[in-house]
Amino acid sequence: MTDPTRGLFNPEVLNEKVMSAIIEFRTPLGQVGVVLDVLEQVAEGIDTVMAVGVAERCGYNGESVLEKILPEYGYPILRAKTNLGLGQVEVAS
Amino acid sequence: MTHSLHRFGRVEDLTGDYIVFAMPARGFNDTDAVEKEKEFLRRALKHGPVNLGDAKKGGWYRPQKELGPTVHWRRETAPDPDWVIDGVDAPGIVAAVFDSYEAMAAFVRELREANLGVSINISALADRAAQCCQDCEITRHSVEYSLGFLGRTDKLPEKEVLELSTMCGHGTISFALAAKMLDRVRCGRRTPEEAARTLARFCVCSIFNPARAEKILAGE
Repeated sequence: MTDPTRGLFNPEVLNEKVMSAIIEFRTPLGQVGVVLDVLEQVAEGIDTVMAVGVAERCGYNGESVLEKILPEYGYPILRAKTNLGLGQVEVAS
Repeated sequence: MTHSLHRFGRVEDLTGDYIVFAMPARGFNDTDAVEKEKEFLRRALKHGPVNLGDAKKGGWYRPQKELGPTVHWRRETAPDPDWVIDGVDAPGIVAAVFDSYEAMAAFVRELREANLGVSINISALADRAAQCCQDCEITRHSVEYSLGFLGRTDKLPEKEVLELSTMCGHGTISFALAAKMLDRVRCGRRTPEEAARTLARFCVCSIFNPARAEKILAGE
């Protein structure tokens, strides 16, 4: 990207075609609704299909805030990818 | 980042679709990663998966190089899990696909006890994954939810084609191929099982669910 703060790509690649692309960014939990609204507006102007996903770090007991607020934004909970937290950092012997 | 999250279908269909991944992190827990991944796959086999493999070489239905004209009438289509496991030769993502909650949960319980040390993920209906964590006494770390499709959804194909094609998150099962297999079954030129295994060979990341595909192809 030529300007990550504005989401600008190198002009040389703007006309390239790809099978799929993933755009990832972070936002505070309180901004999720605003971002989803923006994505819905953007979706009306693009000439392709986008699949939307939103992820969160769960609470100490595995609780999920998004599980409660996403339906309030009009997005029912259906499929998810869940990290079980079983990965560990190896300790050098 | 995910390639398994946005599998299209109704809740009733997705109750038979569970993917369990193992993913080492380079520089953090990838020592002996190949052996850990092989152990993951060997343990998965005990619980009756409908597909398994690694993201570099594919699942247990794979294209074959030595084919002749008689392939249309005579082709070895039985899954070969030993071939898959022996073929894991570099760190990467491995996966096992199940068509029942009980099989998936039993496998996850065994993984917890095995303590392989690599990240384990479940891609499934959100409430089923949450139930599995509860049943296996696992505190989940993070969750990503699929919110569906936006934009030019008028360009999307018919429901059955989408259900089949989205089972490979890399888009290697084209809409045209899925539609062709549906037509072949409807015309009686292929059984649902044959068509499902044909489609499975195109999924390079091994997360295609042939059991679910058979039901879609059969019109269930």
